[in-house]
Amino acid sequence: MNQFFDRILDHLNLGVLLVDNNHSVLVWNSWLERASGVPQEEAVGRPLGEICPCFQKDSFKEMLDNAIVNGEHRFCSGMLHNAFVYPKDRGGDITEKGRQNMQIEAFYQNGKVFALIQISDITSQYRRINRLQHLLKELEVDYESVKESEEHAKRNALYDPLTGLCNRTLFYDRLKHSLDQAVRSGQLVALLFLDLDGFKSVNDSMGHLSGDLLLKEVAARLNTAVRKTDTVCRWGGDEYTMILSDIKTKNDVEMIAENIRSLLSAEFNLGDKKTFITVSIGISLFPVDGDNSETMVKHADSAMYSVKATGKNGYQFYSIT
Amino acid sequence: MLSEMQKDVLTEVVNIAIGRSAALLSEMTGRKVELSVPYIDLLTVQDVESPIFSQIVVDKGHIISSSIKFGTEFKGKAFLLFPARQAKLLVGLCLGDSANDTNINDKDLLDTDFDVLMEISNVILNTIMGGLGNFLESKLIYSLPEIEMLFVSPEGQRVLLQENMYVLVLQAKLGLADNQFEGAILIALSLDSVTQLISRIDRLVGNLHESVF
Repeated sequence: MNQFFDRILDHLNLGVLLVDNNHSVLVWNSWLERASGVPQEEAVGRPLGEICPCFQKDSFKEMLDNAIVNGEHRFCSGMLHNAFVYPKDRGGDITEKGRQNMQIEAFYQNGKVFALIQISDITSQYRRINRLQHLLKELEVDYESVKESEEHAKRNALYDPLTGLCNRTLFYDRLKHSLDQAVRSGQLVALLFLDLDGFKSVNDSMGHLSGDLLLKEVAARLNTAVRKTDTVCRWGGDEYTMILSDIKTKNDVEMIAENIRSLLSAEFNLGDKKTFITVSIGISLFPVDGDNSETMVKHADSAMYSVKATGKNGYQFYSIT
Repeated sequence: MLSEMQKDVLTEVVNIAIGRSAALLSEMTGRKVELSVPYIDLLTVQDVESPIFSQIVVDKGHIISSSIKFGTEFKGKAFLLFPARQAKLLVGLCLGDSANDTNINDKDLLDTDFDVLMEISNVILNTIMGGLGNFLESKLIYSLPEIEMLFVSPEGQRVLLQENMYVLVLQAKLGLADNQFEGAILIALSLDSVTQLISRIDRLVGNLHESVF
């Protein structure tokens, strides 16, 4: 019968060893022979500390005593201790030792108490987890860069890269939203179409770089002329549009248009060059001048051309005549 | 349920035992570990609903629960509970990472993380139960430690303990590499075991009185 149980012990895929109260080895199965290189006939009867150096430490001796004397059950993780049983010649190299989990518990037999130790190899599990962790880190980095380029693409799709103002796509979206809201609130929405007067000559005489600086500075000044809830857009070239929501009277729009004219009339410092510029502004009002985005833009554009035709540097509301 | 004097005796017994846990954990992690049990009380399952219990035990939500059963004359089940949100950082620090290396938002615990948590809680629970066993002069037999992640609602806390009538509640604080971790140890006890514990405390208190007067 003993031989039968010995064979079962030797077939187990974990190390099983039993020590007495002097920490001498009583049972040493085949798994441990393979893991340590120490055959059973050499191991049995020897102090465990001679075969497994970690059991020379007081803390490990105490684990055995606590199991035998106090009945304690102790688990030791291979993550914290690496390995407990390994060939003597690999003692110095932690990476070659692998990783093992260990359980120590009291084992009672015929009125005597022993410490039963079970050791399982988690090296492949540890390596798999390590690889998985590295893979996850790489995926995280990849995900971050994809997210970053997505943000970049999204920004470019909705904003003008030179001025940072919203572009036509976002403008139409916001205009539709403002018009829908105005239908519910009964307030006016003003659409301003702005075209810089004489921008081409600034570009021609001072160069494209100065032209770009001027467009950026105009954008910055336009942003200061409106509320946070309003929208300023670069329509293209030297043209800008603005959506002013929740307008009560035409007079409110006139004040804003006049303020814009005044803000843009101040001198522009473009690096080492200086210049002045004026603006022509056409205005359409919702719902009186149009009931949809396209009509509103068309009528504001038309009003802007009327300003251009009558001497520039001013503003006009759309009129059918 | 315990008088201040009884609480003092029990706090001292537990803190002497837990000092051994701190030394063992320091040796294992190679870092200074501080452990303390600033609060102990004996509650009934009905007290689980009291605010003090919720305050001491843990936040609602996901918690890591490590437990061992113990038996012979003094028997019951001991749980070490702490918020799951602290688990990844605790594992990282035990394995030698710095607090900055660990993504504390990372809630996914790997099997090997549970192994580390199991060993830490095993050391703490063993020394506390060992300390109580010595105090009661009673030899205990322990079960395998079990570890799991639980979601705890107020109802869940009652369910966790409903089989047992009395709960020894210990507030536990662990300091590791400039980080503080808070948890609770619940020791669910039968009426016989509670009686045994209280009479042992009273015997000791009585002896102290006799030696003073």
